Amino acid sequence: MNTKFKLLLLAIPLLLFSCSSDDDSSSQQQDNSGDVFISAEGAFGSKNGSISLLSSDFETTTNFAYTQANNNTPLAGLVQSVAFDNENAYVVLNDVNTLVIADKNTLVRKDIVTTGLQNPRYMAIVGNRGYITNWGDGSNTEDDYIAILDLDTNTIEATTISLDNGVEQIVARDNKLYVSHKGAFSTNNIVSVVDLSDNNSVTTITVNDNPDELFFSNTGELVVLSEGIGLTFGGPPTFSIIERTTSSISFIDINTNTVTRTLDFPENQGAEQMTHADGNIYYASNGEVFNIDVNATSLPTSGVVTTGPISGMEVNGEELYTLTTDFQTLSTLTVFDLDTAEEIFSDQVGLGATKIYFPN
Amino acid sequence: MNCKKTYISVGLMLYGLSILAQRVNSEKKQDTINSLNEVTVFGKILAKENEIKGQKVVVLPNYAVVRNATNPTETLRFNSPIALRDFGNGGISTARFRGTSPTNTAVLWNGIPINSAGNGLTDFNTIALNTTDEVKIVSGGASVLYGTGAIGGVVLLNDDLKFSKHQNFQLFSQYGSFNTSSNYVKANLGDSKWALKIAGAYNSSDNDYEYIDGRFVDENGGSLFNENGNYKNYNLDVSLGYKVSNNNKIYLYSQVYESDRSFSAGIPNPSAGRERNQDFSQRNLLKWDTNFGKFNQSVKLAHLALDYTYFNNQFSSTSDFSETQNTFFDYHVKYNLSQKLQLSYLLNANFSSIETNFISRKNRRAIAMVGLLHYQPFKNTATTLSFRNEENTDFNVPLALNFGVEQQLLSFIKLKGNYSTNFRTPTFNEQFWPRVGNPDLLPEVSKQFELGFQIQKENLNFQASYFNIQIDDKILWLPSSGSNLWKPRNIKNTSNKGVEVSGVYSFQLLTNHVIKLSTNYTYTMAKNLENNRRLPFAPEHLWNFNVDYTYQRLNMFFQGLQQSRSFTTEDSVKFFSLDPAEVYNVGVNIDIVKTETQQLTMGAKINNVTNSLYYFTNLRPNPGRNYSIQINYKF
Repeated sequence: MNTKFKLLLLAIPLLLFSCSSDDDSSSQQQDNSGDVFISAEGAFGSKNGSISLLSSDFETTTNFAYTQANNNTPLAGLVQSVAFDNENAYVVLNDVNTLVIADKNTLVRKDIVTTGLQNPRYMAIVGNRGYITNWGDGSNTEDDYIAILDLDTNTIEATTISLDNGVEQIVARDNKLYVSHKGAFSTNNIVSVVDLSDNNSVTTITVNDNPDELFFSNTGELVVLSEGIGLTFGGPPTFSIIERTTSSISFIDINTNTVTRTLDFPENQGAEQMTHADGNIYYASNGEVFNIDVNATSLPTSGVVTTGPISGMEVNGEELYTLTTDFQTLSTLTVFDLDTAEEIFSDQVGLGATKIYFPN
Repeated sequence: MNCKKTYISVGLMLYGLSILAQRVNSEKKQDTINSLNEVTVFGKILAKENEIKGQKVVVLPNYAVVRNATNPTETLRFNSPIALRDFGNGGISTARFRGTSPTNTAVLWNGIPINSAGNGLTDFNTIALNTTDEVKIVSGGASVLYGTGAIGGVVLLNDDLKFSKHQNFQLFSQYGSFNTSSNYVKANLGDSKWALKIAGAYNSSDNDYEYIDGRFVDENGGSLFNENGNYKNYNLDVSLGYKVSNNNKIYLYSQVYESDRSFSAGIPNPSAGRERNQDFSQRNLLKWDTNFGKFNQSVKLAHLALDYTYFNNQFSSTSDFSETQNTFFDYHVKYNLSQKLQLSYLLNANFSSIETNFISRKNRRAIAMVGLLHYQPFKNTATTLSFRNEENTDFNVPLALNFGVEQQLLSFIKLKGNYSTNFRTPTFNEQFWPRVGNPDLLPEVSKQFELGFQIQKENLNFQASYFNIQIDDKILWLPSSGSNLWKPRNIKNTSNKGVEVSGVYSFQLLTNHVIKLSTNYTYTMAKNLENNRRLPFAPEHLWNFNVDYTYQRLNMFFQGLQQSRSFTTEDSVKFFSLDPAEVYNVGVNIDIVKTETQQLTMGAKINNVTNSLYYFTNLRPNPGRNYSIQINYKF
């Protein structure tokens, strides 16, 4: 009997150690150029953001593409946004104050920036510098700034540009930066203009509450979507906004930094997503995507595509890409044909997918 | 060999062990403390404590706090059936039974519930485990006795006040890697009139270990370290008992605990770590036990204060605070109707309040009435039937019910069964936290049963239970309206089924060579019944074991822990999971002095001897191979 026991004891380590091998997928050096690039935030606090790639012919969807390309190493943060230059993808990881720099075509990691960022949000590139908006402490309204990344050394410069509360998206034109102030954990209603040629001097333009998306239209105007402040909310599961301050689309003349036109949404209605293509502006409101001309003077009452609630949207040619975002499980990417308003493709992408990019 | 096969083999091995064990003739009487002993005396009713029948109960072995002294998480992880998840070594640590959530684990200090009124949890790295005299781990629901949160299981932290002539002193000190030290002194004194316990502990660590996950490096390609992870804590316990007469005893228990921790940021950017948290708790309990005729009466009055100060950035001047208070009044009377029947009545009042810089002062009052019936219809059959009706100022609390039965089959085999309904009321944070609190939450409610057996022999104690828990109106924090803002809501019906096994077995190999094996294993299948998907953070297999070899003054041990892949979302996709964890420790102890009246033991230990990379929280690796030495003096 004792012998039996000894054998059992001897067997324990064998049994234990036999469990360790894992089929980690090895690094795959593949060229992703031309793919649609979808960034997924991951769940808040879980550091499980990811990148999905969709081949331009819609044949293959690759989820967790960065992890695959880097020896099973995840990005390890909440993917807030991605910026691109000719060679690189700059992945902004909000919760871990980190920027991951990867080859745009292979997603193989080149570098990592871990100092100089605090609650980073979005990045714009001008020349050999990246400009990254940072909330600082999200509940502190006094410490927002732009961090300046030297793209040759991949280090944050000592100089920062201090801005008003709640910096969010950033675009650049003619050596000037344009930053929307969505307000971080509180609220704001301005767009800041930073003149890089004039000692980083800052001017502000007042718009409606909580400006988020902004871009330059083909006429050269700066178009800004203000979402309004949610005042009262419905119950579970959606806790949707019932009452809000005015939401609007503002058109800004960047020569005079003045708002030339404002299209207000009807009372307590608003839009949450906005993009543009070929002289058209698309925005998402209440489960529908609407289309207006860049010179529109009023908002339409009926949309062009019914999408249901979405948290990400882009237009590429005649195709509308939308993200039905889920922060608990995988999200869904759906592509619609804008001519027919029909769905032409749908697949699962990363958890908490919110952004779509066409880097090439 | 894949994991499934491994676990099947292990299961078979355990089964084999139990069969073999039954055959082993009891060797000559050994001085091995059978730590899992939960002796129930049949033949007369005598529920000294408010116990209920039919549940699986494990008493944490005495050696556990010495062997795994670094922090309470480590102690319980290697020696109990509880699944612990720490947010980095020494960080916030939550406990789950049987795949339920951490708020379904009730913790009681000398019979008083101590889970925070704010978040409904006990942080298992902020309890004074190494000065606690007895840690009892009751698996399964027991809201009838312990109220809110006792769904998955209950951890009872008890201090001993005995009215007999005794003087026990213990001095313990351990020092190890990362400048980690754990120290405590404990004195239990008493005579026929008085009983006194005085204890104090101090633990600290730089906790700046290397992250051995080679996939992640810093900006210069170097290793990452657990920056900003240092901690220190101390506690002081003073308890006093006075026996006025055999039928009239008064007890006073008191504990102060203070902790100061920095929270590391983990991978990929530990240099960004700035968080710091200071916890302070104070607990006082006055207990008066009286007997008259066939009545036993116990009155308890307790006050708990639990405060924290949290710095999002410890170098800035701003911080958050929270102050919670609980006052308990507990009246318990037992009436021994006959040798076969005992009736109990409990009145239990709890006044709780919270105030934080985010939540203005809130109060809650819960008054519960409990009826408990111990009935022993036959010599070998013991049953308990109990009800609890709680009136709560904020919620409609459903009636809690518990029915337990234990049947002695042979002299050494007992069958156990228990059916219960239990609840957890929403916490202040869940209701009132700004932006995310949900004032419309309902209590979550469980219906559950378990069936098991226990084999008890002189050198063997083996228990196994099948459990089946269904929770309705489960409160979960979920993303709201397509945003990454998480709010609590009642949503799910969940089902947790599985088997929990614990065993201790000791035998002599040759004269004076004693081998002792102990193990805990839980198989859990936890599902969301709405979509039939697996619930996150409920790994299928969780197993720990200790193998001890003692020869005269020499003791060597090998201990291990295995957890199967733990999914972090309901997707069951590998990307959203923690790899299987495996960790083994080895140690040696030598009794330098061993006499009738004193024992001086010195020990050394290698933790994580295989230098394995393991995670209990995503991207917060636990330390690689590390070392400690200790001295333990009892007199």
